[in-house]
Amino acid sequence: MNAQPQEWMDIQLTVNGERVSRRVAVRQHLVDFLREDLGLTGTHLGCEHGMCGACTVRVDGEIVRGCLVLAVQCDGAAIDTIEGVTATGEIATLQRAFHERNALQCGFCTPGMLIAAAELLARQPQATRAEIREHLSGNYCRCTGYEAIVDAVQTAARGGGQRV
Amino acid sequence: MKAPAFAYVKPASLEEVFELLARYGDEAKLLAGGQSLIAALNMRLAAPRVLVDINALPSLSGIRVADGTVAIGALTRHRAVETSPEIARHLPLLAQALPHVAHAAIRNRGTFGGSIAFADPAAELPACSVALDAKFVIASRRGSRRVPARKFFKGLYETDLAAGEVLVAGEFPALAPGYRSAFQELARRRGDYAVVGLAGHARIAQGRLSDVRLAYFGVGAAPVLARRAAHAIEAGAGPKMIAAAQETLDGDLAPFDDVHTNGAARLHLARVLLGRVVSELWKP
Amino acid sequence: MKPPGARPPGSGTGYIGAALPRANAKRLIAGRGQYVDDLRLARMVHAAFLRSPYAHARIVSINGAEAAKAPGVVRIIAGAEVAGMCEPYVGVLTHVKGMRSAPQRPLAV
Repeated sequence: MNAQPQEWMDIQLTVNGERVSRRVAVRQHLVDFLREDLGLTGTHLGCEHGMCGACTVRVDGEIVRGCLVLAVQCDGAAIDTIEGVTATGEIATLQRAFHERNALQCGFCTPGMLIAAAELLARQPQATRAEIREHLSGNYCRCTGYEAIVDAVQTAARGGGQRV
Repeated sequence: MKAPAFAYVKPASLEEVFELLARYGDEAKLLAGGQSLIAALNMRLAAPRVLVDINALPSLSGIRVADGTVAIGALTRHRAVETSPEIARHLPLLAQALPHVAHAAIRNRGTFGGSIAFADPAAELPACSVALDAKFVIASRRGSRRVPARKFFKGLYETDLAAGEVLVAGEFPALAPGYRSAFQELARRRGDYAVVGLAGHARIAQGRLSDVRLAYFGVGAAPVLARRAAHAIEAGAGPKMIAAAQETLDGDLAPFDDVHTNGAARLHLARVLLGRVVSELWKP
Repeated sequence: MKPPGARPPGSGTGYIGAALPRANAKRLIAGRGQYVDDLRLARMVHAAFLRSPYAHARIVSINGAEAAKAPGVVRIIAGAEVAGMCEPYVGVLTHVKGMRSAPQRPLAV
C-alpha cells in the first residue's frame, strides 16, 4: 500500500481561475484554507456545521458547504468564491438586483446567498418565488427577514432591473 | 469550532480500505460526503484518529438498473439520485423524498451510503429503504453479504455494519406495475431535521390498496414500519379506512419526546401524515 | 382621510418614503466587507476561552502548566491574574435601594 495516513499534505488546486499550491493541515476545512492561507475573506463562517450557508462556495461547478469540505479533499479541484464570480461578472445581474432591492443589511450572509442563488438560476432560470424560497432555505439571514432577498433573486430571474 | 487533529488517507481500492480498517480499528472513520462527519468533527462530537477518504473508489458510485433491480452505489451523491431519470422512473419514492434531504449544497456532496450508514433517526433514505424493502450490500475482507433494510437499522445511529465492513450499495426492487409511492415530511423549515416523516408505497387495483408499506421516520431510534396501519388500509377503502388506520397508529408507534416536540404531538402529526400519504396513494 | 397638506411618499425633498440606495453596500455584495474575523494584524494572537463546565461552582484551582507548554501557546491567563488589573463593577438598581450584584470581574476567580 502506498498511502499512509498523514497530518499534512501538499495540494494543488485552482481558485478563481488561478493555480494554487500549498501545504495544508489535513484537519483544515476549505473555508479556513481560503480565508487564512489565500486571504480570500469574502467567504464567511457562521456556524461551522453546515446549517447557516454563509460558507457556501463552488467546488467543480457545484455549490457546497465550504466548512464541511476538507482543503485536502479539493486537491485537483476548481474553486469559485465570491471574489472570483464578482471579478468575472458572472453574477453581476444578481448583484445589481441585490443592491437595487436592498437585499442585505450587514452583508455577512450575502456572499453565500449570492453563490447559492446563482446555482439556482443556472439550473432553473425561471425559478418561481416558492422555488427560490425553498432553495435559499439553506442560507440564514439575521438581518433582512428574507423578503428583499427573494425579491432580488426573482428580479434577477426575470432578467434583472425590473420592478417585481 | 475547529476539528481536532487527525490523520488523513485516501486509498485507491477497497482492499486498501479493509487494510486500514484492520490496522486502526475503531480509531478510523470512513469519509464519504462528510456532511455529517465533518460537522461532527467541527463540533468536536467525534475525534477519530484517522479519516479514510473513500471518494476515490470508482466502483462505489453510480445507478444501475438491471433485471428489475435498481442498484445505487454507496458513493452516489444525493444530487445524482435526485436528478436521475432512472430513479424517477423506477424508484419514484426516492425522487419524492430527496428534495427534503437537507439543502442543495449538502445534497451536492452527501452520499446515499453515508446517509444509510450514519442512520440518523430523522433521515429520509433509511425510511425509504425500509418502505421499499431494499437490501444493502456490505463488503469486507471476508467477502460480501446482503442485509435487508428492515434488519439493518438496529437502534440510535446503530446499524448492522460490523468492524471492517463497508457499505457498498443499496439494491431496490424497481417499481412494479400498479404500484405507487407517496412521501410526506413535516419540518419547521424546508431542509430542517424532520419532526416526523412517512414514506409510503403500495399497489392499487380497483380502488383498493394492497401490499401497503408505511415507514415512519423521526418517531424513534430507527425507521418504523406501521404494520397495523398498513393492514387497516388494506382492509378497507375511503375516509373510514383512513380514520381506522389512524386509530391503529398508537399500536405501531411510540414516539419520543425531545426539546421541540413531545411524543403525543408527534403521534398526532404521524396520524396527519398517514391521512395525507394514504390519500395520495389512493388517488385515482 | 389624509391629513391636510399630505403628499405622496417620495414627492417632497425629504427622505421619508424615498428609496435610498446604499453605495456602501456594493462592497459587501462583492464580498469585500471587513468583518472582525477578517482582520489580520501583524503579530496577532488569538484568544480561546475555557468556560466552566459547571453552572454554579467555586473555583478551587486552575492549573495551566501543561497547556502553557503546548506548541503555539503564548500565555495562559486566569481570573486571579486579571483581577488586579481592573476594578470589578457592581450592578445596582436606582429604584431599589440596597440591591447590589456580586462584584463582576473580567474572569471569574
